[in-house]
Amino acid sequence: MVPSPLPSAEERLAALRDNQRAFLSSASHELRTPLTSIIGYLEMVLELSGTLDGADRGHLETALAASHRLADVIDTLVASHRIDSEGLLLHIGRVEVGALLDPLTPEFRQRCARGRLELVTDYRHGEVQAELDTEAVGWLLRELVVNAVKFTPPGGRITLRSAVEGDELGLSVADTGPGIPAGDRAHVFERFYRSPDALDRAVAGTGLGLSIGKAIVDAHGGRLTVDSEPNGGTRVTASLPIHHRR
Amino acid sequence: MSRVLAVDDDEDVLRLVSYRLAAAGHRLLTATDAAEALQIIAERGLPDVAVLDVSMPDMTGLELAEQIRDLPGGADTSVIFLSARVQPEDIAAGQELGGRYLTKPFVATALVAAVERATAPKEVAAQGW
Repeated sequence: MVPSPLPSAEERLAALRDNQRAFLSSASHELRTPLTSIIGYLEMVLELSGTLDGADRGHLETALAASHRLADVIDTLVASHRIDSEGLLLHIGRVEVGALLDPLTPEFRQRCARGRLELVTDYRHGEVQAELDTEAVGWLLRELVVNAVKFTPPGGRITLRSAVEGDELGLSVADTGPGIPAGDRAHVFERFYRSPDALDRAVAGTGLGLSIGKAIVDAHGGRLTVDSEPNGGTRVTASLPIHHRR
Repeated sequence: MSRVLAVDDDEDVLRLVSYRLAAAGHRLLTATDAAEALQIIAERGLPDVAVLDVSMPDMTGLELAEQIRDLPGGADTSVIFLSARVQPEDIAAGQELGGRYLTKPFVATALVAAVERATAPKEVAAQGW
């Protein structure tokens, strides 16, 4: 009997990648499924129970916020691992900007409400269609809103704005938080970077979200920029070409 | 108000989906697997909207959506996938079947909005008669 040839290094690497992808997909699924019940039932109890006193309500809100943070961490780790192993592959399609933003708005409104923040939408994209990856850009916007909510004290405001300037679509998320110190601004897109302020205030995070967001914008041929002043809030803007340059 | 069939092998999630959509005024039928869903459709007729989990034993939500589409009049049933599978290829597979794809954990208002959006054009068309 002729022994079958040993797999090549490339074949072994491909098999390893397939195994990693399968594990990640399975782990993400198995974590998200119980989280769906945890988050869903906590929300139900908080909405429906008229008998909770202030302390009990606060405990449940803490548990709910922690559950959402866990879901966000899973999202970020899955996205990061995928980009590391496969690179960022975009699925570009022509889409009305409204069809991108409208389905996301209820989720963003809820995220802001949980942080006791007001969400203001200032959509000025009109009927424009853009060539972009809706899932990836949706992920980016979610990451920007999650960050804005984390850093903005209760009572503040998050503004989600869209605008068309020339052949670019601008999507920005602005907050009324404490702003980013000048020395930190140059580092916010670095992988695993956590600002000293975030560490001091124990703001949860992996330091991966903005670096992935920048990779998404770069892959579209756009720019991701930060404007921030101490105590003057922060605005992060993704400027994306309306016509994808292949 | 729409007739919604929700299918999920996780009964806790199924109760959540039912509660949210019933509270929004929709009529709900539920099934915990594809076979039960097809049985309900055979007995009660096609729903306006099918909210389908993707990862289920025996038959996936994607396969169930195809079976519903192949039924006489099945193309008129709008499909919303509600899944903890979030890889781009999973989402693309759902969208290629013409369904909206929502991920778990889900936002209740987004689910309600998706059901309402799925049926809105039909209601407009019906008013034209």
